Amino acid sequence: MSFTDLISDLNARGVRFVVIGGVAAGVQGSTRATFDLDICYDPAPDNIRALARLLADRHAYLRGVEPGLPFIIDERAFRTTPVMTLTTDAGPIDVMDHVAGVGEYPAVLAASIEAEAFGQRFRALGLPALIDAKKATGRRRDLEQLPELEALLALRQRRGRKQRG
Amino acid sequence: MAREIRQVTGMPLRRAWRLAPEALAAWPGRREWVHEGREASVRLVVDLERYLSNYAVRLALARTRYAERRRGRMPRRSRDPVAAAQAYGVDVSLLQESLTLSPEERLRRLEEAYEFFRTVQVVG
Repeated sequence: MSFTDLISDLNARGVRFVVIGGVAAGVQGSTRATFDLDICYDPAPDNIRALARLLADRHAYLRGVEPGLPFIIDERAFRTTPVMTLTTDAGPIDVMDHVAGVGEYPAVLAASIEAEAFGQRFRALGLPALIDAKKATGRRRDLEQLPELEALLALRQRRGRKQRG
Repeated sequence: MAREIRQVTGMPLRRAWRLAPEALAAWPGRREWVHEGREASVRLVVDLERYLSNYAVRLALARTRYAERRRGRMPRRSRDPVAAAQAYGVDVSLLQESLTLSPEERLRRLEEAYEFFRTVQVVG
């Protein structure tokens, strides 16, 4: 399993997405370990179709529930349940059509940065938006990450100023 | 299920409430449950597999993502986020070191951590 495998799969199928959550924070310097890839996807029908097909090919199933429950992953499923927490052959992935505190896909895309790793280009949610998202969820586990993310943003801004100055 | 039947057909909730257990009892023998009106001119078809799939998705979300929201105002922080993080117990030296890496190196590090925790076993 690797995050890169999943990202490479998404790119290969032409899925439009932004990496959010722990991996986006990690790419920008967070030192917290994360064990799933979170993405926000474009909810356009062609994109959902491509994403659903990829997840079905990767034998996606729900995380946190008993094995063997009925589970359909297709375009219709994304319309009724746009947020899913899944496990796949390539590792765990959470998919959603919006990010709390940031908005729907266009807003998420506008707040993202471009990253490249292992030959794969992808968009990742920028630090200011990640901070907004953590604040908006209000969950303790998200709020606990705020001091680190805010410090990271300040350090990056200082480095940027130094490099310019 | 009763709410959904009511929403789609507009029938009173009490009536939908009587139909819902009938529909659910048809699973797993049948993937669809069909109910016909008295004159057989109206049919209600419930896609049981999809209904249960949607239910399972919501159950998974409740178990994996739900957590109680913190109440009240956000605590005040010092003006300097780095000092605030240090006071909170964040090891800022790790952040500074992480910022010297490229995004690719950081992603590799995350993946290595994932692999380590996935494969590590307690022995003895």
